[in-house]
Amino acid sequence: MNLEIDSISLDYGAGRGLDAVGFTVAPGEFVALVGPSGAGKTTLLRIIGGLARASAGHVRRDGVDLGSLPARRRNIGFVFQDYALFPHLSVAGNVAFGLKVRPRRLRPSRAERRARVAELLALVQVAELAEARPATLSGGQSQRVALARALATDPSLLLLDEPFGALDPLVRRDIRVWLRALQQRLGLTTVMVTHDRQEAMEIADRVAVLRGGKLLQIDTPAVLEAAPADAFVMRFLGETLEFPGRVEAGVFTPVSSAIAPFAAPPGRAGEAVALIRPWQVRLSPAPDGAQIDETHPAGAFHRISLTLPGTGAAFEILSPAELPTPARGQRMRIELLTPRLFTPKGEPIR
Amino acid sequence: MSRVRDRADARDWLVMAAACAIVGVLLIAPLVLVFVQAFADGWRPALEALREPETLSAIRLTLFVAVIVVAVNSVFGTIAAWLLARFDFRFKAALLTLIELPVSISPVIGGLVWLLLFGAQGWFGPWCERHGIGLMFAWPGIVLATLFVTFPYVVRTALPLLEAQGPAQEEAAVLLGAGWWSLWARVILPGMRLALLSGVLLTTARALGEFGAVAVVSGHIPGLTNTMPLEIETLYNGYRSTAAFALSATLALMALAVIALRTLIRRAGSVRA
Repeated sequence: MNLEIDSISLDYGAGRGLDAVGFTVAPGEFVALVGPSGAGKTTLLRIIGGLARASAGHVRRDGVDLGSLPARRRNIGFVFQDYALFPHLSVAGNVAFGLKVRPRRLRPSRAERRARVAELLALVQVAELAEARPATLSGGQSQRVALARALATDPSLLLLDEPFGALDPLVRRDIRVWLRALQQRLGLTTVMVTHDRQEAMEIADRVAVLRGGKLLQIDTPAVLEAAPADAFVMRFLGETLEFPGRVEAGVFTPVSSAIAPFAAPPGRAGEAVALIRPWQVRLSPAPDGAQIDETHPAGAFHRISLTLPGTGAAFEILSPAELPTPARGQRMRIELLTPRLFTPKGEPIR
Repeated sequence: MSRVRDRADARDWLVMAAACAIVGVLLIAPLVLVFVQAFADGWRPALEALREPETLSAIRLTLFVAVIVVAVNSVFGTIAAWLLARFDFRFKAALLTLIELPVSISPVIGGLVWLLLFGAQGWFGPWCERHGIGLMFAWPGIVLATLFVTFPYVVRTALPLLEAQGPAQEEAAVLLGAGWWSLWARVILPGMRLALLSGVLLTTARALGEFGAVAVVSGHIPGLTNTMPLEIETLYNGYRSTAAFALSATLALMALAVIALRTLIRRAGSVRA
């Protein structure tokens, strides 16, 4: 199933809403919508689901405009942030809901419904909970039940609103891996909203970054990392170090002499800032380098705190744990391995 | 509950004794006295008094009015609560205040308003009279007055629950294909059933005992438009104190039964949750 978001706008007033957001989701693709709160990602999801109405633009499924189709006829699976299970129904009753409310001639028989519920609960690995009440479930279990309920009517599209938001961090990762595998197996076209950039980068085929109702960039995690559309995208998607400097005659020269200059795209000149992930640097001893303040082991890395000479700016880098750690007080020159250059306004210099 | 100290000291006992005394004097003693007075001359006179045609008529009228009022206010109260919880519109705050008006305003005023509208000298009174519609000094007037007084109870018990639940369950139901009817029958009403029952029972208790508003529009015709509270007053003013207290005891028992039922339902609800 192909989903096309065609320049969707919504005016909420006060700068909130959506501004001509458009992208397409290929059949079986997993797209994550990320952005700071107020970016409009949940609003967009609700418009796709039919829970909110856009003031302009179209949502098309396989080329057919969904605009005139009410939410109840769209057959879209939706998993809510707090699951929204029906507390007065058992788990089986919750999962069977979508089958039970069908018009009589389309409604499966009681035996068929029971079989379908058993099949779905087995699929989400909570078969033993069929008779349990939602209030007695853990967060992870509720999540699986909510997913089973959303899948019961064989939806052509799955929408997930912060599906991992209420889970504790240990369960989160497991469920994430499991959900991705399930989505792949069922070939479900999926759109997920999350505020967790790392989660989005790990689970999605493509990630759409929204800010203030505008789509800044949508691409694979690798491209987003390598070529962010602007400094905001780069900053939003991960821990970022920033070094100001100047581009002149094809060379970026940092303000601090402790940072090694590197080649910049030719034909551009002026103020610029180099952005980089804390692990994309290399240290080498130099008498005028940055001073090592502290080192701490951090998993596969060493977290190293440094202070730049002159400005006194302090920051942290991650150095692979297998490399020798510099001693405290030592001075190191910093080489930026894969810097991305932006103008002071945040536009990329390529 | 957190414990500040392990054992209660003298001051704690004093406070507890004071609380017990207040509850005893203000709540329990009057109730006990009603029953004591009713049976002061023994069982027989009390039961005899209850079997008089005018008393029976008062009981019938009260139950009849209560059934209509509870039915109407449950339906409209539920719908009103849902609309108020789910939609934002202009003057919503004003409307919320207005809904609480019957609780804060004297019921006599509630009765007088109906008299002003439909009484013989009222705005629509002459029109009603010409068309043979007798609202005042008849049961429809009593129903209207009681409706006004008891309207807030269902709304005010259902609204906080609906607001706390939020619309997500209803949205989930719609996305799963539920139509309007399924939505109400399978999600909204079951989800609020305990609060709804509680509000309905509160409405019942209030409808059974309403005096002020009903007194204005009833006309006090024994055997015809006297509800139980009005009949009690009539009996008492006629120096028939045994009969008055026997009917009072009956009314009190009905109210107690309703409140006991409400407590049971709430307990059942809290155990499940």
